[in-house]
Amino acid sequence: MPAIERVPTSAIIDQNRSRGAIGYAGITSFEARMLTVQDELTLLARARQLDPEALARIHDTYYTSIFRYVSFRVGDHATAEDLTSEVFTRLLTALRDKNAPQNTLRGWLYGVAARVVSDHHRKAYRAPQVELDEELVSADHDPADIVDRKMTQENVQRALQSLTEEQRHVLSLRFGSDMPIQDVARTLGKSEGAVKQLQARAVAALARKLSPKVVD
Amino acid sequence: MDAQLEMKLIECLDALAQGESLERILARHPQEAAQLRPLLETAASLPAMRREPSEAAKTQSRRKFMAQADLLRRTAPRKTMGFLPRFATGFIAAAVVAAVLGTGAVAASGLALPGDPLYGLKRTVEDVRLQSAGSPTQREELQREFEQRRVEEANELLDAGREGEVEFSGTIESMQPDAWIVSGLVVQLDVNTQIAGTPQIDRLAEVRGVTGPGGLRATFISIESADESEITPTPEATETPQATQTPEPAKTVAPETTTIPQPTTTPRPTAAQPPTTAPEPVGVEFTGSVNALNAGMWTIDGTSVIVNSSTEIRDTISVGQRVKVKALRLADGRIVATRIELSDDGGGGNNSNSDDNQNSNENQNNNDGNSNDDNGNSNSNDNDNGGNSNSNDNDNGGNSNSNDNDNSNNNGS
Repeated sequence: MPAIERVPTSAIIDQNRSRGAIGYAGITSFEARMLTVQDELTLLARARQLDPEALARIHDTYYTSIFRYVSFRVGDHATAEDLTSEVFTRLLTALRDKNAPQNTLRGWLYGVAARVVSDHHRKAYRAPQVELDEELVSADHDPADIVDRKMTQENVQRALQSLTEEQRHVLSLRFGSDMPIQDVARTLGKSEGAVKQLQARAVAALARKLSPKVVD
Repeated sequence: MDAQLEMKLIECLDALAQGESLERILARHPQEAAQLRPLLETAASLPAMRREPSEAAKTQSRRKFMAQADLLRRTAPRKTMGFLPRFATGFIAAAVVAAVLGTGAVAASGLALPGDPLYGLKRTVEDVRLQSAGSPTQREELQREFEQRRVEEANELLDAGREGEVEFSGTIESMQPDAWIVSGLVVQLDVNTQIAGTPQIDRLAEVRGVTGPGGLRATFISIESADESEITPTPEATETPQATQTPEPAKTVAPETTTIPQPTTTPRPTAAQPPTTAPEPVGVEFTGSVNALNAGMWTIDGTSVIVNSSTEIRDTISVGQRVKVKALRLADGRIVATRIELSDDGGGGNNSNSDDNQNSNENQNNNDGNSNDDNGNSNSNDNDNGGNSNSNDNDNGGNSNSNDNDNSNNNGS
């Protein structure tokens, strides 16, 4: 099993950037942490037989990344842990019902993560949709200040709610799970160009939401 | 955002991902810098939103995942046999036993699972076999065999994804908040699961629950305490209270395995146990010769007397001396001394100290069945030292209280 590197949060941003740079050359540390397509297929075949070793490996390989994805969209740490766990439970249910992912385990897992998070928000966030805009728009200072002040996790997460599901998904994969564009493209089954465009629009929409001064 | 700005933003985000600084990127687009800046700042700040999972959460998630997978392996669809048409179980089955004993139905019932028509017959046959066992050893073997059958039955129901009520006992092999493994079976717990006793790995547990396509859900789990072999002894009143020192009913021995959940580990005199289920100890008084002074247990005229921290020992007593004993006879026949003194010093035996006795009662009842060595040792040592009976009592009290907590489940009869 590939070792899961642990780095301080401050280092992650830099790492993220350099990783992106290498990423376009084809091999990234993210790749090393994730599985190759071939590995994934083999693992998936064994997982269908409920092979414990394969299942444990799937869990351990993807847990951290899925948690990052989920916690990017759900603020509460304990809730994020529960929801992450739920993603893996759903994998088992799918395996039992023979609805298991056919080829891309990764795409399937993040897709389920997105649904689990959406389900959670549907239950928890019904009411505050309205106050979101008021609060965010009420700030009327220097845009940079606003960005600083408003870039709390809670605000970002609430602002994310106003994006499209696809935009949320891309941002969470890209910045939450720390995936290079290439991997996001593979996970979503889209071209890199399409993902870059999605990302740009998502960033613009988020910035608009977080700071009213951002011009369209 | 127009198409041109979007192209620029894509380019800038690429550069950002490659580690270029915000200022350098913006310097390349002086025309659009004002528009791009907040967008890039937003993007640049997003990685800081990331949270890392704790190792503990990951481990817990894996355990749950693996337990669920294990469950799934057991419930994977499997060919099942058809059974005979349903007919009344229980009472009728018991009546039928006599008629069909030795016939094919009995043999067939051996395969029956809970919920099957012949299951009642199967259990009845087991009971008959147990009662007609030739020797205690044989009965024990049968008991073990039948207990193993309960586990197998639960397993078969799970394999078939069938619904049924099951009960079995076995060792707790693994414990997580949502599921335990008992005797190799994954037992799911929910808010409605009642648990009696202290859950601990390697302890014996009796599980009642229901099986279904989703696995085995426990409704009740009773855990044996560490040194107890019998679950739920129900004390029966064999004597009626007659002594002048009537202990309060609220403090009497109650079967602890039925208190769910246990309110605290510290016994309290006011603990509201149902008085009806708890027969009251009986105060007794007798005189006899000390045959032996063992840890926590003295033998006086051939009778075993429990001596613990609440036993007031008034004199220095050694083997061979005659003593006067005030004690409580518990419902299960055990005798717990409240006061022991030399019988020939003539001073004891008054009933005026009823307060003392009451206090003793409280402690004794909490203590019953406690054969703890520390008490006995310190008692006899203290007695050898002689003299300072007051300070001795205090010391003993401290020791035995901590022991009480550990052994609070001892009800073995």
